[in-house]
Parts: sequence; structure tokens; C-alpha cells
Amino acid sequence: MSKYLALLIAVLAPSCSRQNEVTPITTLEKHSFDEVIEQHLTDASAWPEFGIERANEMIELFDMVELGGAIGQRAQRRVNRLGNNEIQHALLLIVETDKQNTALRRRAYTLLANRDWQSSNRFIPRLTLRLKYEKDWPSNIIIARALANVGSLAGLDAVQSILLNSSENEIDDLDLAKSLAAEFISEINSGHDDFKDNWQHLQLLSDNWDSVHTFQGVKTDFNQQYQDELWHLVAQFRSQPLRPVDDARFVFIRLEQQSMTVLAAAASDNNRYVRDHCLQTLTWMQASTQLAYDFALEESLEILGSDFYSSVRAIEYRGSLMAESQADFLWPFIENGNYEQRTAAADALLRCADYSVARIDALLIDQSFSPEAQCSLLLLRDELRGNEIVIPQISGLDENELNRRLRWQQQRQVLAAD
Amino acid sequence: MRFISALFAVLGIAALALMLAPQESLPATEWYSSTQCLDCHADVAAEWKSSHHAFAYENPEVRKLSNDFANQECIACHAPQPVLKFEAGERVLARQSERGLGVDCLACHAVTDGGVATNNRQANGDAPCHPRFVERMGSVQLCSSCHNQHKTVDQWRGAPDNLKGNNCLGCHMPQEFRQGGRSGSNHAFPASHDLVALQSAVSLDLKIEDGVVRTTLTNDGSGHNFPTDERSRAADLFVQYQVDGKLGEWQRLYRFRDPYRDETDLTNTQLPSGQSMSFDLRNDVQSVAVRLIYKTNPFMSDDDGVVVHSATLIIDE
Repeated sequence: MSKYLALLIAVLAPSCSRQNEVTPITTLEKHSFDEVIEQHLTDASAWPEFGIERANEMIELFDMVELGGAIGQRAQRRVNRLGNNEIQHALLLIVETDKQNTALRRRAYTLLANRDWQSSNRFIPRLTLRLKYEKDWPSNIIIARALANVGSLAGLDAVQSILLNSSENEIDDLDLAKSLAAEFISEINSGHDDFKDNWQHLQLLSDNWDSVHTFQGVKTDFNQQYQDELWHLVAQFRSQPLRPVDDARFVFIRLEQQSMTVLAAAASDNNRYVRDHCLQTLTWMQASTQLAYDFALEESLEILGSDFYSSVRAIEYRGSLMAESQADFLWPFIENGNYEQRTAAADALLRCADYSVARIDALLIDQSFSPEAQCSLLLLRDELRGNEIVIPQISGLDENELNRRLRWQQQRQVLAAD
Repeated sequence: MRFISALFAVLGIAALALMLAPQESLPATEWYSSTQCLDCHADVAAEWKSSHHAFAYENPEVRKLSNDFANQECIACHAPQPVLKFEAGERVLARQSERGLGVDCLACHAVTDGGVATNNRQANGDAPCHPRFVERMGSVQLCSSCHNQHKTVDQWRGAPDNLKGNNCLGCHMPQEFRQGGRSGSNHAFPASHDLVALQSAVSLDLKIEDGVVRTTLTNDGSGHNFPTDERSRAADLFVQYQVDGKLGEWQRLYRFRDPYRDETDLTNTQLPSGQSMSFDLRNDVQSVAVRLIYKTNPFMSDDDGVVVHSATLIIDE
């Protein structure tokens, strides 16, 4: 009897199970970086706790040093007793809080640029953020110089903009900024005085920085204090107001390449915002993200691809690698993913290129792709067939979304031609 | 015993047949595109189409202020993933598909499991989308994911009770009767692009008090600052005098606005809910006129702004 009952239960059980069970929300075994972040934030090496008054006193001390004589010597002795942390914090506090006194800010930036910090470079992220908020152009050139001294070429964009700018009526102190910029590009070209030569050298440095985020002249010391700052930025990704998030993204995409290891690690954080913004930031770094991929991300991406919340960003990141080898990872999402995943995967396929025209043709019969996905697939199909690119007419496709896809396609073609 | 064996055998075969029979297709519980909503909700969709939610991604003003979304942080709220995929009140992240639809149906109504949420307690679960009542749909927290990025919900929390209303929906989704007599929440979201909504938010007064000509702007109709929002909105109060029979130029008296991020040299001059601000004007003139111009973009010219209120006072005929 009991064997009949067992048989009956065994037979009936599957048919009684719910057919519309919701897929588990996530299969990602995430890591909690909370402790890591907290440890970095509360580390003994945190920034000193003093306010702007103390910072102003300190800058006066530097002014007194320059007076020379007995006063200067006394001031120098007091400066010598200050730690790098204290000085950096004081100077950064001035440039972060004093919006009215441009001369004072320029002075603070100059002190940051002129001092030999040796391996004490934790100020790089905070100074990099000034490139977002500093409106005074000469100050931007001084920031670029200060950063270059410690191995970061994040300020080169500002230098190039100034040297190319001819709208003299719109920018205060443009002449001064141009002269500082010319001086700076000579300095980083070993003191050459031929402007054309220096300009070409600047372009080379800039291109190299954009692709690999390294400055051969000086290497940033990836020390503990510097890492504390990077984790501080990662913590900002958890913020609900967007400003800290945007600040962190702004800084990360301008840091040297080793900083990407922190982003790659934190991409599997248990906080979905941290995961999302780490992957997004790496994606924005475009070609240079290959480095992060090589560092640590390959394994995480495999797992993130099955994460309910992060899979779309993981797919998008794969697209930013612009490598044909990524196509195998993308096809399952295009063919079996949900609506968002299919869009991300079709976009990524356009960026990476894949040479299966027949497979793409088969996909295009399916009408349930989003307008964005249809656009990516049509552009790719036409390209693979060797047809002239025809702008696809797709209902519901935003013009800017079309332009983004045309730009991606072009970027990949340029990269392949190189 | 034989009977029991036969019964089990029949039951077993029946169960097997049930398993092997093609499954009746499951109800379409996955709603992935707002275009799927149009067939049944054409009237609501038409309201939404006229709203700035529908226009959120393509709006040229947004494009300009976000540097064509080079400030990618803006995309999250202008083409969001469904808000209900996030914890209550937490910010949203950008979606990948159909961004041109801006803040679309699914942005507010889609539930994580693919179903559809409604604020209607008597939701008709038999409808093709199987809507189900979700408390959060009618709460401030649903809107705050985006609208508190520019502090509007925080302002509402600090507003006087008599101006707060029940929540955001009271003013921005009033109940309407649609064709066929069905009532529902207005999906046009009347707000700063709606002159009637703007006029009901504040009042402008101009009179002589103790010999002083005074104009007063009072935020007596909105449950948040006026203008709310950071950066993008401004309201300018202007005055014009008539002297010796000649009308002078309009002069700006005051700008009500919360400056943006890097405009740290400016202070917040919004008018909080329930508060007034007065300005003493010249009285050695024949007449005084004031007007309040609302701008959806602070860089907009006065001519492109909307005159919300105006008043004229004859002092000396």
C-alpha cells in the first residue's frame, strides 16, 4: 500500500508545483565590502580634523617662509614640523571651500604643485575632483601640473582646451592660463622650448593616458593611504543623492590604471548601487577597461551576468571592451534574455562585432526587440553584409539613441583600423 | 485490494497525462514595454502623452541642461527602470530600452516579478495585466525616488500641514472623470508646465501699507518650495514704475531659485511652503506694476518665461 502511495505522490508532486514560479532574484554570491570600506574610512591615516581657519593659518605660514630672513626661517621650522597629511588637507580645504578668493586658491594649488610629496599621494583623488568644480582657468592648469607631478595626467584635457581656446572675451585671465599651459607642456617635454614639438608631445601623452591611464614619466604609488581614498569613493556609490555618486565616477575615470582594481573588486559588492556604478564607471573608461578586465573582472562578470540586478550593466561592460571574443558571452542574452538584457546584449554585439550574419537575420524576424536593440542589430547586419549604412527607420527610437549607436559602430571600426 | 490498485493506476495515468499535456500558456504576466499598455488604456496613455513624464528623455531643455545627457547621472530619472524594483524611497537606475518613452507606464507600475501594480484598492485582477494593489503606489516614496533628488519631497515633509495635502497625488494626479464615466487619477501630472497649477501655487499682492508701497509673494498653495527643483527652475519678480506719464523698463526685484551644485557662490532663494516675502517699492511714482515670471530654465529670456501673476497699483492720478 505504502509503495502505491509513494508512487502516487511521486507522480503527482511535479504536476502540482507552481508553473509560474518567479526566478530567484539573484544567484550572485556577493561580497560585502562594508567592512573593507569602514576600515578604510576610519583608518588611523584619515584626514586631519581641522577647519578652514587652521588651513588659512597654514597658508600664511608658507607666505612667511617666502619672506626669508629670520621670520622666514622661523616659519620654515614650523612648516617642517607639519606632516604631509596636514599640509595637503589644509590646501585642499582652501580650494574646496573658498569660492571668492581666486588668488588664494591659485596659491594653494601652486603649493600643491611645487612641493615634493614623495610617496604621500593620497591627495590625488581630492585634487582630481577640483577639475570638475574649479572655474578659474589658470587654476586648472596648476591642478594639471600638480597631478602630473604625482603620475596623473587627468588635467591634460584642461590644458588642451585652454591652448585651443580663442574666445578671449568669455574667459577671465585667458592669457595667463595660456602662458601657464605653454610652460607646463614644455616642462613635461623635458624643458623643450619649441611649442609645436611640445604640443605634439602633449597629444601623444594624452592619447596614451586615454588608452592605458599611465604616465611613463612618474608612476603613482598605490599605497595604503591612496587606496583608502579610492574606497572612500566606492562608498560614495551607495549615496542616495546623486552628487556624491557623480563626483566619484568623475574621479575614478580620471585616475591611473591601478585604481581600476578597486572598481573591479567592488563590482561584486552586495550593494546593487555599488555594483552598478562600478561597472558603469568601467564601461565609461572604454578601451582602457580591457585592463580592468585583465586584472580581476573576468570571473566576476561571469557571475554578474546571472545577477537579476547587475546583468544588464555586466553586458554593457562587455560591449565596452569592443572585442569580438565577447560575442560568445552575448548571444545567450540576445536569444534568451529578458527585454533589458536583450537590448544591452544587442548593443554590446554592435560594439564588439560578430560575423554571424545569418544568426542576426534570424533574430530580426523576432519583433519583440526594443527599438534600441533593433537599431543595433540592423546597423551590424548592414555592416557585415558590406552594405552602405542606411539609417534605420524604427518607430519609437530616440534620435540620440540612434546617434549613440552610430558612434559606437564608428569607434569600433576606427579601433579595428588602428 | 485490486480496486485500490486500479484506482492508483488511473490516478497515476491521469497525473501523467496532466504532466505531459501541453501546458496552457501562462497569462502574460510579464510586462516589459509600456507600448503593451496602450490597447487597453488609451485614455490614460493620451493624458500621459501630454505630460512631461512622457517628454522626460527628449525634452530639449533637459538635453541642454544635461549637456545632451553627457551628465549621465540625469538619465536615471529621465528614463528610469521601474521604481518598484528599488527599495521604498531609494533612487532609481537608468533603463536600457525605450528611453524615448521617458518616465513611462512601467516606470511607476511594473513590479519586480513582471506584474503590474496599481493604487486602486478595487483593482480588477481579471484584467489582462492582473493589476494588484500596492500600497506604495499612492505614497510619497514612489515619487521621491526621483523627485527628491532635487529635494522636493524633503521640502514637502517640512511644509505646514494645511498645505501638505495627503501626498503628491492630491495636486499632481487629481481625480478625473474620463470618457464612459470612469474616474481615475490624472496622468498628465499638472505642475510647473501648467499655468493653472502655477497660479494656484503662489499669490502675489501689491498694496499701500502705512504709506509704503509693498508687494508680497506668498507660497500659499503648494506643499513644497516655490519654485521647487534644483537648478532648472527659476521665478523672477519684476517691477515697473510709471513716472511723468512714461512707463519705465521692467526691473528684476528678486530671483527665487535653488542654485545648482557648482554654483556655490549663490544662495538658495526659494520661497518655502507657507511663507511670504515682501519688497518695499517706490511711492514717488504715478503707478507701480509687478509681475512674476516663471522659467523652466534659469537661462531663459524673460520673454520666454510664463507670467504667472501680475498686478498694477495707481498711486497718483
